[in-house]
Amino acid sequence: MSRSPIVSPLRRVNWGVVLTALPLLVWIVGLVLWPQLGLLLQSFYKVGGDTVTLANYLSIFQDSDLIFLRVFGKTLLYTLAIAALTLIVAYPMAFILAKVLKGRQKLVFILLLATPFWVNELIRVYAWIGLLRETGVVNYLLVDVLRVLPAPIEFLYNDIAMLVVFVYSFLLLMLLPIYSSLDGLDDTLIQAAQNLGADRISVFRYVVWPASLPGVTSGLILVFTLSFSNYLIPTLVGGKSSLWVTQLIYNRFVVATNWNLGAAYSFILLAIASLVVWGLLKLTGQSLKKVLGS
Amino acid sequence: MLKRRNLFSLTVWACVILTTACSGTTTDTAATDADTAATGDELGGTLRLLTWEGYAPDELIAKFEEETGVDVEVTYIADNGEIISKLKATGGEGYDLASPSVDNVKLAQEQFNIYQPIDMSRIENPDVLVQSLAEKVAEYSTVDGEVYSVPAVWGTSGLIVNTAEAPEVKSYKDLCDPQFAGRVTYRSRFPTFAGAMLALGYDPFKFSLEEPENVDGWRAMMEEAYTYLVDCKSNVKTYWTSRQENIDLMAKGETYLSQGWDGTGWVLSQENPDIKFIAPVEGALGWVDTFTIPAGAKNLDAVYAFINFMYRPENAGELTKGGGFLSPVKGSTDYWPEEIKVLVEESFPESALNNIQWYAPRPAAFDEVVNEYVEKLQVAEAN
Repeated sequence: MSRSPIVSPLRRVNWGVVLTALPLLVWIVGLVLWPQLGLLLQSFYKVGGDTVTLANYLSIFQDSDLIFLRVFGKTLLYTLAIAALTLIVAYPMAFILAKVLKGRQKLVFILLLATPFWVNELIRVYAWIGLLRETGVVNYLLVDVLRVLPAPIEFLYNDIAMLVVFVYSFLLLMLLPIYSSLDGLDDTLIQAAQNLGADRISVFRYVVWPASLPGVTSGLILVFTLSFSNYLIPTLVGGKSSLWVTQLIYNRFVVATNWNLGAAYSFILLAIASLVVWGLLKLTGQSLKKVLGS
Repeated sequence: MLKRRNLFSLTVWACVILTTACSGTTTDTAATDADTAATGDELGGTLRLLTWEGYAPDELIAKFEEETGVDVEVTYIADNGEIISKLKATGGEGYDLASPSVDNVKLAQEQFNIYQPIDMSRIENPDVLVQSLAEKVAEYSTVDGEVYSVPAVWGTSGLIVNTAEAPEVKSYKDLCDPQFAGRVTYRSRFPTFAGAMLALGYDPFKFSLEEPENVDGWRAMMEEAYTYLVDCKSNVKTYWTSRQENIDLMAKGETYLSQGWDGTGWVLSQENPDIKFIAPVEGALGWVDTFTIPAGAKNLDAVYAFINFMYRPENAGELTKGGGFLSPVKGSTDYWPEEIKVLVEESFPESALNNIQWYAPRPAAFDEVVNEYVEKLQVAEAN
């Protein structure tokens, strides 16, 4: 049964795999790469112009008051803060979920956490508006029920409210990967460390934290990239001075119909976001492969 | 195993969050009755409208569908730029009839060539329109001698006031009165700048018609309005971004004073009689939204049938009932409910009607300056 020397190379192609991968390929090429390429090309032309130019990219250093750089810098700073805050909130929860709760309790805990996320993001944000606004639930409790405040306070329309809603919205994206990492950590390792005389801090520092690092990194990356590119929350919850970089891009595309400049902004956003993700991976000593769980 | 699950749950959650974050535009196919397409003189086919919420009430659409056998599909937009973006992306394809504001039509047509001229001979009864409005729309939407728009709906923006809390208000200047600190809301968009310019004694609309080349002069006016609005920023609770947000803030009594649309004010009045729409002494800002036909419209028979249908007074009157929008059709007021009539007359005595400041088309260079200052205002720290 030796192989015929004149077998067509097509025979060796596994058509089953190709056919299965086809939708993915069509998706990636047709719906992701192709439009992106179109935008990338546009970003090198001025509106209605036909010569290749870097003017759109350079304009960020020239616009009056450096609006783009200021807004961009603020967004970047806030997004990093959001990622860090989400980590601080999610980590203990993930730890309890993975190491303290058992069986049924775990299921109930996950359900409780996940149920609100079955509702559309827009509706969840409106629920927060209903809670925080001057005539909202929180003020009602503080002023009318508990009587700890003499008059209602406006909790909404400021940067802190925006951060709170961001952290809430992306909590699960941080919690689940950390939970997965911690769940994979063998409990006997912790016991071994304790038996060898390690105190709580040392156990955390040398056993738990390193084991959770892939989850932490992927959580940070998810929360960072998604809040960086979020439009809804800053628009609805943010105050009169909370301009987010996505709103600038929206304005270029929709209000000013300057797609070329909007495209340039988008690619600057993409480049910086990629850079930050790369930095996070370096900082935590992780590789993208490991973090994505392959 | 574990890692697989990890990847899976990540993907699922990423998808959930991404998809919900991405759903923006609402496309609403009005209920259609398959049995209606029966008689011989019916048009049939589909009419795809690109319009604002409230401009195509369900009852009217149902009536039109029954009369003509045309299926109507409505896509809502919330910004003039959205109309231009959508049509620009497809070269004017995808919709049969759009409703951009008249001051946007000329520039969009000159830049992107997304519309087609109106065939006036197919408008059955043009005399039914309020002539001053029809003439203004024709004048503002003429490109190379061709008219591109006829009026569909008009209205103004002015002051929505809770008279129980702010009884003396009558000018755009009152928005910046320190006694209302934290109790004011308006948009960070051109109408607010226009109001500020009027308050400062300028006429932005006359300027853009008479000196369209004078970008420096425009910039100087915008700069002054900007400084004025930055000083005013501590008065503002938030810049509203949707009609509903404006309604919520006023209805809950969180703000006493807002710059907003007349229809919004009348909707609020019906809930709380203390809230009134007032045309400011400097003049309410008048806008006219149009019927404008995209270049790639497919069903022109249905388009003109729809325009003629909306130009019948009994149908035009319906627009005002629900959302408080005003029709350019004479006699449509005969079909208004009494309470709306009272509210409109109270807001617009004869003198206020004559004092409406109509939006005029702006050159592209002016709009760039406007966009720049709109963003600067959103970044500026309140004093």
